[in-house]
Amino acid sequence: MKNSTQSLAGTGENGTANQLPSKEVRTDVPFERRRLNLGAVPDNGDFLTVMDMDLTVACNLRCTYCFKEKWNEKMEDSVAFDAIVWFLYASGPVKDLSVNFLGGEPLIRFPLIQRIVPFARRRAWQMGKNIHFSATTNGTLVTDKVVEFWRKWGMGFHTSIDGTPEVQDVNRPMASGRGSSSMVEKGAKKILSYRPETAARATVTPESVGKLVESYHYFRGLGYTNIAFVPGAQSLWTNESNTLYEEQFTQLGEILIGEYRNGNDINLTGIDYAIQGVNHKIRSDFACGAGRGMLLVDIHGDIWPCHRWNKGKESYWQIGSIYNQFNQMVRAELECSCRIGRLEEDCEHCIANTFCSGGCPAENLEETGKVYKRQANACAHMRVWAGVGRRIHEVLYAEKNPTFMKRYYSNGQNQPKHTQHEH
Amino acid sequence: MNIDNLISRLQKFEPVLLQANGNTPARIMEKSARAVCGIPTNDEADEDKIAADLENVLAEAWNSESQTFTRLSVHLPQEALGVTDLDRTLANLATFLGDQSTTQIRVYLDQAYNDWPAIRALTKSLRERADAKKTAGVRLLVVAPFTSIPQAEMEALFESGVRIRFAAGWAKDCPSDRTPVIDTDALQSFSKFGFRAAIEWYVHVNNMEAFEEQIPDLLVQNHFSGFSMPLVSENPYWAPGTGCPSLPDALDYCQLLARIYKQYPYYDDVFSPLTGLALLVKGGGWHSQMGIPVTADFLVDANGGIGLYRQTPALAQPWNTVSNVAAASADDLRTVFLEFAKNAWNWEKLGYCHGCRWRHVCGGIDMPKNQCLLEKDLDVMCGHRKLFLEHFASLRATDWVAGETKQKG
Repeated sequence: MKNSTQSLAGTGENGTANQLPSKEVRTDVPFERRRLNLGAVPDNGDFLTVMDMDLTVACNLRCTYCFKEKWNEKMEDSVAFDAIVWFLYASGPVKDLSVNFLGGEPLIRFPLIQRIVPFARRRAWQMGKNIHFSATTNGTLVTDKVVEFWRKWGMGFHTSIDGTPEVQDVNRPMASGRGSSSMVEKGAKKILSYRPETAARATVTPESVGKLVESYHYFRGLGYTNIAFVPGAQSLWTNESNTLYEEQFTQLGEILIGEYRNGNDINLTGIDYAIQGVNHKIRSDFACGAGRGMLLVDIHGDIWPCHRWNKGKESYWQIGSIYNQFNQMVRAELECSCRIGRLEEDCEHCIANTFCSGGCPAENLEETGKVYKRQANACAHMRVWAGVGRRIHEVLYAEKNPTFMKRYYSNGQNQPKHTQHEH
Repeated sequence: MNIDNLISRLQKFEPVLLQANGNTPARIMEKSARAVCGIPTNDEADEDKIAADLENVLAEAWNSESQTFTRLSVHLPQEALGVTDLDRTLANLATFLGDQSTTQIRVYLDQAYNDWPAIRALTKSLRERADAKKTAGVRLLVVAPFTSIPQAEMEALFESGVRIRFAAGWAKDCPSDRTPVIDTDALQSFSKFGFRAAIEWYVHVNNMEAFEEQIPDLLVQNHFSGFSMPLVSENPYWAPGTGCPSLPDALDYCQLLARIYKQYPYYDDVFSPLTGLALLVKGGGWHSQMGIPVTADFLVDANGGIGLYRQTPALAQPWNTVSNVAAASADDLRTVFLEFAKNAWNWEKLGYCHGCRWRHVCGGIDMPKNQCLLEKDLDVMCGHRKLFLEHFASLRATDWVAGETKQKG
């Protein structure tokens, strides 16, 4: 769904910011004196369908690779309510909307979540809309009460969990320095008992890459069927760690073939993209919806492309504020008709070019300083997914494995089923 | 092309000429606003052909098989809630025009009212009866200067489908020189719960400035639910010549509406009277097959009488009774209603509206039975409607340009 188009303007070459002013932390106008500006909404381009909300930047974990900056502790309650109303207006005629709570650890704000979700669902219904809520949580604060609330309001979870207790405790220690694995394990079980399809999202570091297979078995033991091993801090990777990544993923590929032969429909993110790439053969113009159908409202009420794309040094990309204005010029840069056409890489002969659309633009910006330039290690990891995905496709397609065929070809005997990438 | 000649040739269709405005050339709107036609501006245009084309379009629009939904509103002052068979009557009113109508029931309560289970029971009964007749559903809106109510009751009301408007500006028995204080705690409490608690500010001669000053804070308190600004005469408790407040000056009211709409354009789905007027221009104001306006307002009184009115409940014409309507079949009710409406909307009898080119869009105003209203009051009731109908018509897209073969949109 599109509004009218607008020409590109106002940014540097290939998405590089011309100026990077430091982020201003607004302390001059107290929140209680701010007034929501319902005119600060997009008037062209894609209509919004997804809003990320940073409820807090506080967290009870101290993950070694955390990209979040700590400007302030939490979103004021009034900002949260205002953000919901803003989203209802900014989404124009779109009926089905999604809000994802992020942080920090969003469950630190569970009391606010308990107020904001019913408010939002009810307001939306009165405007003929429906909002689906989810939260990306580290799993440590998931209680029966939380799950009961989630169940009542039909909410979804994404769990950030890195792997075996050994990996988890090293990568994601508590603020006190203790390991977090036992708490996360309890939380994960509660979540999975409510929503078995919940994803385990693991950040892979050069230090933990040798444990992928072990972590996979650990996740499966907990009950996860939806697993993502996503490399982080790309610039820290070496040839050796990349090789290890490939070895581990090759083993995971064989394990996945076994899973499908046993009738287990497992989604291993990355491999899933690669398999879809084999049958679709055409990559998407966009890697994700950041800045297009999806935006972040941060704890101040400022609007950004996504939850990862809102750092002080990236303030050029701030799209506005729900209290001030919506910057159409910045958004126009992200709404270009085809992001892959702007990539600096030569993707023509890349094995991953049937599904890779240039990777996470926020990560690109962190790693290379450019939205459309990938870090070399990121490309290497994509090629690993592509190779393993092809191998799995070759074997299971030849066998006409029923679980595999149902997942990827259910629209007809040999017609690919169109599923969307999840980033 | 001589526009005046063209209009006179089309006179039997009573088209509305939308004057040229900036870059927009003059256009012609079908009298009930179901079509807007562009007129070629070049001098060489064949006037005969264009007139013939326009005749076809205007006739087709008026006689079209596809008619606009009728929007019925049934207004229930608190005193009418105890009338026997009310739920059956409401269900019948909601369904007797078939599935081409939608119905909103507005219940007006005072601040002390607390029999919420009765409201829920009415809603439940109504919904069951209406659903049984396969209607699209009925909307029940409670209009009241609310005080706080328990969270559990709020939840039960919401779940039963009740929606609210926060009445303000004037209330039953309130002296005309006083403005009732809004219970902002209650407003915040309803809003925070998730009710869209739009303020319904009844405008009269003494309260216009007060509202304008309060809007920014009220919007914060009702979580930007919006507001509406009907004339106080639209409140069912208002009656002329009884000590109720006077209507504002026509120009003042128009200026206030225009100024506030310009400053707060985000609430146009609840901003009465502008919302209703915009809908009339968007979809057409007259149901030509039934010979009635697309909006009809019923007022049920404490004795079970049902009146029909256009904008002013106090001037409602007695039409029927609750007991009759409850017992009637849909077909009979429809026949009786259309017969009554045919007489009620006999333009010959509506002296004030008879010559007005907007009457098939507007639906007209209510005629006072005696001298209880002054000419200037009628001008207030009429003036803002014409002003905004004309404004919204100027914004309406052209459906067709005379001389072109293909229809737009």
